[in-house]
Amino acid sequence: MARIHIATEYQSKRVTRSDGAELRAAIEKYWADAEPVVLDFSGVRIASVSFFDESLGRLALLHPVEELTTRVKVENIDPADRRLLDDIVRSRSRERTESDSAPFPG
Amino acid sequence: MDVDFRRANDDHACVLRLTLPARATVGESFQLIELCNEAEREVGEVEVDCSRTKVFGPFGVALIASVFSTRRKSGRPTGLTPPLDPDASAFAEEVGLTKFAVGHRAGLRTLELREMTALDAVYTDSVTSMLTHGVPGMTSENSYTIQLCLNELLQNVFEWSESPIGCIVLARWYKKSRSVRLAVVDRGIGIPAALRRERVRALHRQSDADVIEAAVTTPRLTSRANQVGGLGLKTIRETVCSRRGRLTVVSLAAKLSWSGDRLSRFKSPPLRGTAIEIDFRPDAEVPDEPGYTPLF
Repeated sequence: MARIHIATEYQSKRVTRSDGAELRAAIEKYWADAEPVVLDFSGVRIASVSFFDESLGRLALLHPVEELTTRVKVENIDPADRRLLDDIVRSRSRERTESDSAPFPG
Repeated sequence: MDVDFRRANDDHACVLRLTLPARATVGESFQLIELCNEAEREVGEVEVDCSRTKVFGPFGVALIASVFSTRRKSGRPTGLTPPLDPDASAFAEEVGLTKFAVGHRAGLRTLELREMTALDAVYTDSVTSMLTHGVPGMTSENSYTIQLCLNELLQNVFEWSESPIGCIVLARWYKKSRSVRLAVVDRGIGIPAALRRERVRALHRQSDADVIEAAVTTPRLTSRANQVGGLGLKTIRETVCSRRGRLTVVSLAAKLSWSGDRLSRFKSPPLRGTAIEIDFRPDAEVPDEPGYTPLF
């Protein structure tokens, strides 16, 4: 099972959208694995909409949320970060569903 | 020009003296921006005179500091006359305004006025850690919202403002109101220009105030072409206003302020860039969302 320790891998680069894009690319490398990839947030607090949105939020736009939560496991995350992450993923998931069900133009 | 401003050309030294009003807070943004504009138009030496100022707020201090940064970048000499009022003088010292005026940089472990040229998690971690350890009653949980707002404000500056000075940041804790005030000022293209450039949702035909209102309240509105985004300013407003706070955004020729559900618009002279102040109680109780279940 692949494990990404955020504090070690990203150090202080865990705030911006480009930092989030790097995490998303790292997750996507393991997307086809049989086992989920584990994101270990021990020792770090993110507190960034941009980082979560560009990493897991963007994945929630591309994949159903059930698939996302099966392929990605989150451990040792700060409770407030968990809440923020959930809000962002739910918001992007709704956006994905709305765009899927939108009528064709014209 | 407001009566609080006094332009005086010293016959001998040819210094343009710009006198700040008695209050230099977000409430006086109109006068302060006029002062900034005049200082930035001036090619010769400028003296920013705070001698009559009795009250400073983070917005006012950060805006004044941005004038020093802008003029310093173009090699134009700028001086500061400190306040005569002892409280105001102590405040200017404490927040590092007098040091900033002569080009000193704030250390990492301080809450002093800071010029930032890149977003670094170490800084926002440090600010929240100092508040958590230095403010009685402040917990790590409470300080989360401060870190969140600071990260989002700075992310916006460094992603699209194109500000030649980066930004000026000031965070202050107010014991009496138990509130924190954060001011972030950049001198870039401004929120309306960033959104208009991408011709997002016909905003290019709307006023600066309308564009700012849309940026702060409309979900998924972003200047990022064909990409995700548009949650940052909305999250800040929700975080601040749900804690009985106030968010004020001044950008180009508009000033808007959110307090609870109420939005107020004010007349503003054009400001090159964006100046934001948030003021809220991090420990204010926020009702839990019913039926919340974690996803991950």
